[in-house]
Amino acid sequence: MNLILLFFAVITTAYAQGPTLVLLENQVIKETHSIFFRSLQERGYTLTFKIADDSALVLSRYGEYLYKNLIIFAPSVEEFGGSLDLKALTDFIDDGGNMLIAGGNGKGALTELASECGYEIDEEGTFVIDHLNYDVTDEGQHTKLVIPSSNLIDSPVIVGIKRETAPLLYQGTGILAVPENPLILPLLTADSTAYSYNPNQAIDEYPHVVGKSTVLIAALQARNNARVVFSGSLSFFSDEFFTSPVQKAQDGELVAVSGNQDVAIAISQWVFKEHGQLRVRSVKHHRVGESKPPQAYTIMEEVVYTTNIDILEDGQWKPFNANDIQLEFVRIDPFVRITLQRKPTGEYEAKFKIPDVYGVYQFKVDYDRVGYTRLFSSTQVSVRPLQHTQYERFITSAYPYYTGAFSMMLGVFLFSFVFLHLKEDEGKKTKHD
Amino acid sequence: MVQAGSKKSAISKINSKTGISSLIIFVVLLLAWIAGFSSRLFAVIRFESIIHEFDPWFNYRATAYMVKNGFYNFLNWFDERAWYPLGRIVGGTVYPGLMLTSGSIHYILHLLHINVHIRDICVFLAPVFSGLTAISTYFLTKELWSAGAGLFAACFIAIVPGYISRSVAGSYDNEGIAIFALQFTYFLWIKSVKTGSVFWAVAASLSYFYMVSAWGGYVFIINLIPLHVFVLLLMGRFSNRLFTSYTTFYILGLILSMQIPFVGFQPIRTSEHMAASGVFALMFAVGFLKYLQTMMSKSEFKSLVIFGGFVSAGIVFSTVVILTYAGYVAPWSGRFYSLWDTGYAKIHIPIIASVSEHQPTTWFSFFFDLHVLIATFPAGLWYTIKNINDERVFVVLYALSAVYFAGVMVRLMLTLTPVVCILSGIAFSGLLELVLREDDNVRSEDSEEEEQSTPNKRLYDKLPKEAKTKSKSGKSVGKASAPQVAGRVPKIKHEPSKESDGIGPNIRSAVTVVILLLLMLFAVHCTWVTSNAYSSPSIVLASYGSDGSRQILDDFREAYFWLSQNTADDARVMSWWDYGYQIAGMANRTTLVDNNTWNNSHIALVGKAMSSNESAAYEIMTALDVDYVLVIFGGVIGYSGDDINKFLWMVRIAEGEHPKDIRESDYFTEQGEFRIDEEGSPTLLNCLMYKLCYYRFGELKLDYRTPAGFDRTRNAVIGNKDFQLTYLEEAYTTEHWLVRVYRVKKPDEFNRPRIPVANRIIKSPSFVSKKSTKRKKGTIKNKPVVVKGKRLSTKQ
Amino acid sequence: MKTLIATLLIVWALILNDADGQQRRQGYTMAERVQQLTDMANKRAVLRFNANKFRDFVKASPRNYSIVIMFTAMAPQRQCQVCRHASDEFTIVANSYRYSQSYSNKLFFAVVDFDEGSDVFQMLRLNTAPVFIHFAPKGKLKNADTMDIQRIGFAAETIAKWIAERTDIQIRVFRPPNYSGTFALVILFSIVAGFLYLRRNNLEFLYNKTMWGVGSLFFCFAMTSGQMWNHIRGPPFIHKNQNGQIAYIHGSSQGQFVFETYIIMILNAAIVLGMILMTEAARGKADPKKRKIMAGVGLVLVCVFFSLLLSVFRTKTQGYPYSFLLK
Repeated sequence: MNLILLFFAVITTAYAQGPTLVLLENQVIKETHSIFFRSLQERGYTLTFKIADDSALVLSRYGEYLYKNLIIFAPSVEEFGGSLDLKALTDFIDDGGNMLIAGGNGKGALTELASECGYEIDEEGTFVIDHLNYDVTDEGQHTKLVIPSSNLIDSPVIVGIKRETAPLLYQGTGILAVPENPLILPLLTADSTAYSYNPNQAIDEYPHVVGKSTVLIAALQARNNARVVFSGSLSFFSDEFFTSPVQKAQDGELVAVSGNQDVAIAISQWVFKEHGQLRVRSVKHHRVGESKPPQAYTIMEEVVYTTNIDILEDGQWKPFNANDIQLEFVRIDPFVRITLQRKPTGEYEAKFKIPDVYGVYQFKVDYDRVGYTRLFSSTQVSVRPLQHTQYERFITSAYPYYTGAFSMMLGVFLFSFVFLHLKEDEGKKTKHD
Repeated sequence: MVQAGSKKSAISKINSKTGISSLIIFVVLLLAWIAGFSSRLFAVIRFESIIHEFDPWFNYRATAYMVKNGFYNFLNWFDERAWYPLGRIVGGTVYPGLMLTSGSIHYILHLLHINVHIRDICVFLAPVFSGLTAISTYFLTKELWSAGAGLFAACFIAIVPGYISRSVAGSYDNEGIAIFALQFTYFLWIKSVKTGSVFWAVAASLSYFYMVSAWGGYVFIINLIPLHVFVLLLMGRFSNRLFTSYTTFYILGLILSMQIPFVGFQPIRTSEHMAASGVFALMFAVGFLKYLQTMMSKSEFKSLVIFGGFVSAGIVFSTVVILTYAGYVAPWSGRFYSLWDTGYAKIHIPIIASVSEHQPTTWFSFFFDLHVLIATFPAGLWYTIKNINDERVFVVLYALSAVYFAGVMVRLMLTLTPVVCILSGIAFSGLLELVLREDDNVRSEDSEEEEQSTPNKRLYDKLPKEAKTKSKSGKSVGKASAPQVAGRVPKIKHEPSKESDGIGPNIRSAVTVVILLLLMLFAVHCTWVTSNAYSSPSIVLASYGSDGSRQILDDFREAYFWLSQNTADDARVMSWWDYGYQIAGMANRTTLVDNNTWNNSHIALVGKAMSSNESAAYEIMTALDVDYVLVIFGGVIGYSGDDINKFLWMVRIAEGEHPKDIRESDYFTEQGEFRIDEEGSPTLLNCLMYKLCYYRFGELKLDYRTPAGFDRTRNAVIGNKDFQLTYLEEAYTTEHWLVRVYRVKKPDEFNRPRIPVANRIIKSPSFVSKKSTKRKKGTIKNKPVVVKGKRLSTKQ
Repeated sequence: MKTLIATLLIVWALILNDADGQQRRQGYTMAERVQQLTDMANKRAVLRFNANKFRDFVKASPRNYSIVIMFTAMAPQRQCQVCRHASDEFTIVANSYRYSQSYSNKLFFAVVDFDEGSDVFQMLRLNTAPVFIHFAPKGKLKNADTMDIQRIGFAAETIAKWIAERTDIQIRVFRPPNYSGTFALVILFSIVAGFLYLRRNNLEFLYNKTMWGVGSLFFCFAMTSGQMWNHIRGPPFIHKNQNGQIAYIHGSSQGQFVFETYIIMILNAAIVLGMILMTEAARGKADPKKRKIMAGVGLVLVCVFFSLLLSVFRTKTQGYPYSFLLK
């Protein structure tokens, strides 16, 4: 029974994931990183291994992409083979493809690709060096670093729960990321004592990156929600680092096995959109007590706005649960901004009163959180002023005027009556004279 | 016919003469109507039955909406496609008289199963109403002076360019019907003053109500009539007739005018209307004084009336001032204020100063619009003043005020034109009456009317033909009419005339001929002006080649049609406000600003976007959800009314609201001149409007003489030639580049935060590709065993 | 034009005047200078500088205050009317700064008269008056520091705006309220009323229609000949182009000269006179000979002057086909 269930689960998940192209520097990497690849295959990815300079490389055929994801484990590639140039890669990102790139500094394709994605890789031959936090197995250059898991980005969706992850091993180049750029996420940063330089050279100029600003693993979530993760070190994903124990050279307490495996797998799950993918399923808005939207609201009306938000969890869309989603009612500036309440039925609802200003408004839900895809939905409605029949008919403050008008009419009537009467009277008089 | 009439016996002569004269009056008015109508058809004949320039397009759109959805929906119409995202309450911000008029005509015609499209009604409304204007002018002048003068005035106003300029077929605007309402109201007012009957006063106020519903110029009436009354009071011409008519008119007019939603409470809240109420109060004060004076002696009477008038006027004035300061009464609105303090608009309200028809008037345009009338109406004014009476006081005041306003603003020439026609009619008829007089019998009046009306009739019903061949047929008219008059003149001699015949027949005939020549010149001038100046529907341009061949530039409609076909239904188009109505009317797309300039700050925002650089403009445009930007560019065909020539106004309006960001001085060169070539100021050369107008213009070589990128309107080679647009992309450019449409890119089109090579920190050595067409293999640095690698990979 | 006159005069004066070389006194420290300036400014809002003071307070550095100086020539023999208006406006600005709450010792207003500091004019190579120059605390003179009175004029508000642009000191201009217009109006009314009151026994002159008629006719002529346009746009009287000959009529239909409008006024008046003469001749009961003459004169007037008017109109219109009597 269990087995069958498990089997089904595997089937479904296997269906869920897309085809993936893996570009290697050489076949050896396939062996040295077997754990990582196996975990992917177990999660149902169909991996296609190619050598990076294979002259038959092709991403798309007849405008259809053959792969959804792309893994590049070829640090020293300078130019990809086949039709795979920079433009093809950036188009792949702009069309929503995901990428996981590990290692690679020096001139050529990867550097260009990195700076196309908004971050830069330090120069050729440089390593992130830390003379305080390096592993015991380091060969004297202090480049095999021990990174405490607290340096991970504070987002469980991407890197898992970082509290119970063991320290990480890292060996590779540093990445420069523009801090004020909201699309760039520094997944893993070095310690404050680290710097990035060529270990074989004497330091004669200031390093490009030092300390906390040294990004080790950087991620980009583009505006079309394509995800690109760039790790400075290839060996971060290697079996060796996955399995090896960690012990700092100084005050080293020994940890049996490094946290690399958990983090690497979590990252791979995130970058290939297994985690943190949101969508708006439906948007409904109408007056209180009605069911379908009018073609125009009137000012000062009570309006109900309901929406369904889903998150993708192992293959199915499930209702998303959060309490910090806000709705804005915008005409150039937001006139109303309230938090959507989650109803037990799983849909979010907001009730509010339309302001006393007519115009063309938009219901806007803009939910942008680290690790999740950007959730944006805007619905345009027009709010019209009162119609001529909707004003109140009898104003109390106007009663004096009403009375004045009617008394005037009465008075005119009486006066004319009296006038005519007197006229006749005079007529009589004249006759008498 | 006159001979026939003169042979009969006295009584029958009288009847027949009255009959004949009324027949002639009828014929003359009919012909004036026909002439006026047909001389307004140039645009329709040359181009097609199409709505003209800017405002008419909104009126047409509103009318179509009303015809489709009924009046109440029109009254409550909230137009969310205008002034995005503010929207516009059309029902409350429009004078509905125009739409109601054409709508009801449409309704009646359809009741009679005459299926006319509403557009044709809109196109031909103004010409039809010009005939009504002529008739009401006849009646007004008849009340003021004589029927002969009335016929003159009717014939004048039927074809005078000053009125045609606003009422050609297709210019479907308020003024077209408003002038009729104006004249008719004045006629009824004069009638009521003469008779002092409530009936005429009520009729006047009803007509005033129609005027209020039709045009904002009703303020002219509601200030002129009280002025008339006030002056009459000062002249001590108070009478119960005046009292009855004014009080009735004022109260009814007030209540009725407040029924128009757009007017609302203005008649009791704004200073423009305070004069009327003040005179109303004054009226009662004077009436009371009169009542007192019945016990007093004659001598103090007049002076006390005058002083009572002064005192109460002072009281009313002071109360109005106090109320204004207390805030119960709104002070003069800028448009009216700019009429008094003539420099006001230029300093404070650039949006008013920017409109060309708010400029002051040169003598040229006076003569251009009124020709001989401008030189002769003072004579009429002279005689009106010479033998003054109650109603002539009115026309004098009308003339003086209208001539002042026309001097201040070109567009108010429209209000001057009718009174000029009336007074010139008086002048001409006064002259011809005397010159063509044969004897001093009482009946002569009518015959003179025939006399001086027949030439006019001949003159005017020639008009449409003259439109084709001007001067020749014009002379033929002169010949046709001159002998006919000369034929009449000899009768004068062999009649036993005693002292009445003062000046000899030669001079009489000479005068007649000269006058007829002048009138003939006037007629051909009117035709020429109408056909050359006032008959182009500024949305279709026509250019004439050297060989007289006509080339139609239909770029506007091309662009609007493209918009309507190729953009999303709710696409928001940003353009300068001149084109808002046209975009809404023809392309049926959402606009940000349009020609009713009710929200200065919104317009200033658009102006700021147009006059700031691309990235700053992009922020504004995304804040306003702009999808497309439309600019008018005349540099290719030398069209002078394009956006670059209007650009300084955009800058000024933007500066008025955002003085920190936009400064007009930045757009001038050091020498303080506005130039678009290399010497132009960098701010100008990089602002959005410049870029949108001249994008890819530098590559265009118009002809072999001029260099590439030569602007024919500014006669200069543009200064900023090859630039790229970052945030916009060209969507459409019409055949003659007259209209250029650009699409504003959405934020998610800037997908990745790319770091351009220039500002990369790490300068990696540039990599030269080793790939070629045959060798598709990539390169991996210090790769040990390629062959093995390949074999493995092939094995996989 | 006035500025131009002033220019010539000053240039002439520059030749005559020998710059009186006073020996340079040793400068004060900045604190002293600020103190002195503040004292002077407390006495009067606009400081009068001569050459020495100019050196001491403006040329001397360092400064932590900025000075706005009006260079002018107020002496009567210069007869520079513009300077008077300019200095009035300038004084208004200075006073409204002096008595505003934003008053500090960061900004001072000064005036240098040509006759007191002609060498300052030479030093700054100024040969026109008036000129407004703002001396920033540090840095050299930019040409934005000189107010462009040709383009934006020198109304007090514009001066304040310009100062706000240069030094971020906002000055709200308080004009001394000007009741002269209203006073004139009131006085006029009272005079009229009093006059009427005195003449209340015979108000016949009020009923003199000829007077009213002539008045309103003149008004009409003034308006129809575009005097209002002249009033608003202020065109030149006549146009004299570079090679000497004078144009009385503006070439294009958009513009006009003052003299031109007078011509038009006369033409209109003559035509109207002609009409009236003819009518009177035809109506009048005087002896036939006189009336013949009147009619003839009127006829000639109308013909000649209308054809003149038409020809003037032709010259301003392109391709206007019609003309009467003369081209």
